[in-house]
Amino acid sequence: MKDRFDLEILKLSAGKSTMHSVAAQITVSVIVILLTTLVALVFRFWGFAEISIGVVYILCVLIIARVTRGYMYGLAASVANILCFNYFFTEPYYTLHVYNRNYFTTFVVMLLASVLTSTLTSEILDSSALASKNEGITRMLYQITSSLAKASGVPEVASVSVRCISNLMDCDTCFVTLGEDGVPDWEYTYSAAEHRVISKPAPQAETKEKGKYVLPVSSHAKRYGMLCFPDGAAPAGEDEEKLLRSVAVQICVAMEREHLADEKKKVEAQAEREKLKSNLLRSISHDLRTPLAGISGLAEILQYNLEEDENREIARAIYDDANWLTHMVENILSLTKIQEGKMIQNIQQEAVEEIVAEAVKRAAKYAEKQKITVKIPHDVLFVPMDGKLIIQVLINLIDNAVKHSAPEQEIRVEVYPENNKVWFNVADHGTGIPEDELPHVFDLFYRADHGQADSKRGIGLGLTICKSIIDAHGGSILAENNTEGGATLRFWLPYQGGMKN
Amino acid sequence: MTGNELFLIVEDDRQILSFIGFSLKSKEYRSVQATTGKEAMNFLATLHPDIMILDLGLPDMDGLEIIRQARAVSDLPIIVVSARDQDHEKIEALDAGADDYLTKPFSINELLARIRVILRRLHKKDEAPAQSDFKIGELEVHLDKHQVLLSGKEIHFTPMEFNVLALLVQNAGKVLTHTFIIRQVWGSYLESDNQSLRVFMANIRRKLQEDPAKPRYILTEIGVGYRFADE
Repeated sequence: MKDRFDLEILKLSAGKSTMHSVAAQITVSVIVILLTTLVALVFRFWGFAEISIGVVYILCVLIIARVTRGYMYGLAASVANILCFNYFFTEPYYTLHVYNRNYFTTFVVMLLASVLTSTLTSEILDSSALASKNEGITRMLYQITSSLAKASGVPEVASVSVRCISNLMDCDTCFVTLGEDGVPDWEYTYSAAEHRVISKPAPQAETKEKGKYVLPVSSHAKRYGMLCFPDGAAPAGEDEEKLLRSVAVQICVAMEREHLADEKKKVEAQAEREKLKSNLLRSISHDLRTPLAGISGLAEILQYNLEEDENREIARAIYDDANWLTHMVENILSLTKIQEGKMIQNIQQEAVEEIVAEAVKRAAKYAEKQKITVKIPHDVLFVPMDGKLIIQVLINLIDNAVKHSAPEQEIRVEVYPENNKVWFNVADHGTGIPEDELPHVFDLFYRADHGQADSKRGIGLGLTICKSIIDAHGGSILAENNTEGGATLRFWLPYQGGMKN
Repeated sequence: MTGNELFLIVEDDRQILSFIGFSLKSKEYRSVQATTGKEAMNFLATLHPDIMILDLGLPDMDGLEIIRQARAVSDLPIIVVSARDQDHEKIEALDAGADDYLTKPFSINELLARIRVILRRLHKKDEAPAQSDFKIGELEVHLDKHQVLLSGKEIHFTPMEFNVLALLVQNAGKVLTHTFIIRQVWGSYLESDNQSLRVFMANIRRKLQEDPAKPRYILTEIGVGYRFADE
């Protein structure tokens, strides 16, 4: 990382390095004037016209304006040159007196020319200095932006950021990144002495020391972190502060990008996990169902083919157990779907009567002797649900009712809307549920222990699964005893009016 | 060829294979068995079976691909047998040209009932290709007269309801997917039509005086479509 992002050392003070001290500028100006006077004296010795000498002095002002900063030197040099010209080159020589009045015109014109020249030169110099300063800033920003663009991952972006800012400000700055909850999580400090970035977990409390300059890195939506400067280091002037702020914006953009990339990665990982899970569920269901289908199918054939009653009974027992196992596999798969997925994915508007009919059709296989009656409203009710899971619930409830019913007893399935709910009732005429057990019916592994012991099996998983499924739908399930005997297990699902005929 | 159909069973699980084989044998149907897709394609080309019972999860080929390839050369009835209970797979298989499907585990009686339905359709097709009068139980449907009679009494059907019922009756015994019905009756398919279709179905059921606990005529294949009872 150090090599990749070793930036050209950038400093804000880079533009100021040609600045001379006042003494040096005066010295240079005096030397230039002396040299000019010397050259002019040589010219006079050779018999050149006074006009040439005047031009040499204007040149002198030009040179001084070029090598110095500010208007003052040029103006002073202009006046000094006029005095020199007067002293050395106008009669009477070596005095400041003038015989010929025409010389005054010459002086004034010379002075004007000098002043104009020096002022123009200074202006050009100033604007070129400004241009080069702006160019420097643009280049700096460009370099920072391109380094940030090359960085990938929050740590790299943070390292590049402190490196740039530290170089820019010529001090060891530190970048504190903020976690999801806005609490500082990592601290990246640049060390000029070691020429590297040191990262360590940030202290939990926000250490905003007084007097220290802190630059927040945040978009309107989110705070990503803050740049902290050491004691005494702060941007000098408006320009520098502006520059720092634009760098902060660039860092913010890079952090935002990394943040989005992270989010995307998280979503992808989540999707990958979901895919793995559903593949696993699928293979489990396939792996268990196929042999179970074989066992129950072959046992069924044995039942038809065997001659002796006793053997037929054995085959029938195998068949029943295989079916029961299949039922369990379905239940366990439903439970895994709910508990791991947390959310039900396949919610659709289902016609209640179709769901009930399917559940009754499938549950009837286990209820050979009991009579199941169904009462549904005349209007078609559409209720948002995962149809498969609600069928599973109804099968479990009917199955439970069958277990607690004597042969020939009626099991009544009823559906009706009530305000924003649709109720599903499964009532039996069995022994009912003891009052003290009512609250525990839906607990995991709870199983009512009364009635005929041999006709019931299971570990109470069925009703627990019902509760999970109904809860996941935002509904509620409960158990009651009927006044006329038997129990009713009922649940409701949220319902928004639906489509009516 | 009545009563002498050759079944092709394609299934990689030996237990299920022998279970289906025994079931067919008990009814004295002839069958050949394939355990891979390649073998199945081979038998399809050489033995020209009359009915195929196909497992979707084969080791070498996707069952859906076998349906498509078989459909390209033959219109033999295909019953899909699969442990996959995901609706979209059933729908894909049906839309690819399968006639019926069974989800494992299933009972002999279920399988044999489906086979009987298919055989009946196969024979009917041989005898009378264009039928316009149907009688199932107490229900009579006359396509040419747009007439529906229940226990001899005429029942009023709206034209749309009649179209849905006619489509079902003409394909009695066969599972029709929601998409298929909507395309046939409405002409185009929109997801939102699913709900309208169910309302139509519910109305038709009310008119046929169906017992919600034990539908007699229109059977719902949850998440897939509808099937009209064949007997």
